[in-house]
Amino acid sequence: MALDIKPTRSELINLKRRIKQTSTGYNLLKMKRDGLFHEFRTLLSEMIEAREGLVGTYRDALQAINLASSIEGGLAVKSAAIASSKHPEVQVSKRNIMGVVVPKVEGQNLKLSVEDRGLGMVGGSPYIDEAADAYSLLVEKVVKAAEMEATLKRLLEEIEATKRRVNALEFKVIPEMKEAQTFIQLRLEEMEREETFRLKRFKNK
Amino acid sequence: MVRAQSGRSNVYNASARAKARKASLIDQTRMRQLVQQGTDSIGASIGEMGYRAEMDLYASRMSGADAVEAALFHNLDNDLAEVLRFCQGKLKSIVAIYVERFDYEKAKTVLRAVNGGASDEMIESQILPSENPRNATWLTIVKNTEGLDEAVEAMAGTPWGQTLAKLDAESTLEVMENALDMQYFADALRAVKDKEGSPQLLKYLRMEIDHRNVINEFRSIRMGMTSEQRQAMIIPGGKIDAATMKQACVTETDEELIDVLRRSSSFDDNGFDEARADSERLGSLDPYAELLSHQRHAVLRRFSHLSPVSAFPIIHYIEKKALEVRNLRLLVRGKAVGLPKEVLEAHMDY
Repeated sequence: MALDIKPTRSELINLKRRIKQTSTGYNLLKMKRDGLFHEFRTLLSEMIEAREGLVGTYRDALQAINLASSIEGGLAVKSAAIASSKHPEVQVSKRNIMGVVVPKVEGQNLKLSVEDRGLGMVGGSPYIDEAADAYSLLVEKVVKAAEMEATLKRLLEEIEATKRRVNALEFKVIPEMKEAQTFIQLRLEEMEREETFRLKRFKNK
Repeated sequence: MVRAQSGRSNVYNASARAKARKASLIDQTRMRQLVQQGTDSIGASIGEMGYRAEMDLYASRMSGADAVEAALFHNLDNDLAEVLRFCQGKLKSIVAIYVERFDYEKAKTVLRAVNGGASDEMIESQILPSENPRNATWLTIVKNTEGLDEAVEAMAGTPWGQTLAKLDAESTLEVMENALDMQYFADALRAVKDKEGSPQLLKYLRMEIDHRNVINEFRSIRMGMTSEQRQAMIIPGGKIDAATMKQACVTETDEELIDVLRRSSSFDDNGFDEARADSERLGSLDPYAELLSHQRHAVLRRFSHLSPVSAFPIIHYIEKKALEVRNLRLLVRGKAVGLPKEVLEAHMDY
């Protein structure tokens, strides 16, 4: 590798300072990577649990709606579904995890109470109640899982980028700088030896 | 709208015609054969059983279970209109009240659509199909009204419109629906208690009220409602006395509720212990709802041979026709979503 550097003492001092700074940065990045990875693993286990819960809730909700539309009729289920004037809404904002901006999903009217659904109780159906409850729970879990999944994806991207930076520092930037430092040191020593030799020759004349 | 008819009732003629119609309904054996059929052939079989005209009407726009369900409801509407046509005098008033329960459901759908801001197109295409001419009035209300107050105004002159007009202007949809259900049962009781109504019909209606109250109590326990809210939901006129129902409103578990209801001699507790165990296991009220439905239809079967010359055979036919539609809908929807045969058979009544 051709080193395009000046073998001077000031360059060596500069280089030493830069190596120190880069090493500090490298350590910090390594700590960030490890921290993000720890966060990722914690979130991942929560996500796996949430996913399993989501699948179970979806299965229950599907079963409840299937039974409700079979027994009460699809028209009755649709009629009950249009009653509420409150509709589920989600708002996406941002939050920070170790410098990584991740989405924060907050929902409104995700789980409607009996009053919010607006349906009369006297002529209501237990099948439709159960289907509505199951779907309310499902929507809540979907929103939670969506937030976790988006956070995980963002964390993963950041871990990848940090890992690339750490690797670049560890295997490319710092070794090259150290190589340059060695080169300058050797060159300076050689120049010193040449100088000593020249002085000796001059003295002998 | 058929109310307060005067003149002589044609009980003999109407009950004979109702019995003849009942004989042409799908029998238990044929229904069981349908359970064995696959999803592809079941629609064709239902078409052959008297629903072809309505199914053809919806086939161009809908498919699968939606088309069959819409056709079944359309057929039921046509059938009820024909039954009303051949009833005369006071008998017609009694039958009309029973038939009106389907209109009450439509009134509730209209109020829900207006309250929830559902699009006219969605209502017209999915809930109150425009192919059914009896939905035209309801669709006009949906299209031409903006708020609940306007919808109530548009229903003026109808029994449900009169009920809703008595409520506060600021009443919520929930209050309106409860008032409609209460009014339906009050009107039905009043009509059935008339001398033209049979004692069996009165007993059946009172049992229906009891069953509605009992299942509502189970629902309200699940929802954690207060005893005041629960008392307000009790439909008056059932066979279970008011004092027992009042006590039932303060119970907090299914077991307590069943124990309280057992104090009333009018409560048939057969099968409730098993239903409670099943309900706990499944985490659903389905076992109770099914038990009550089976009890009600068993009583209907028993009564069908009594009072041969009264309003009862006509109401019995209406109930049987509605039951046929319910069974067919259960079959089609259940098969479409893959419910097992055992579940379908357990939920069917004959």
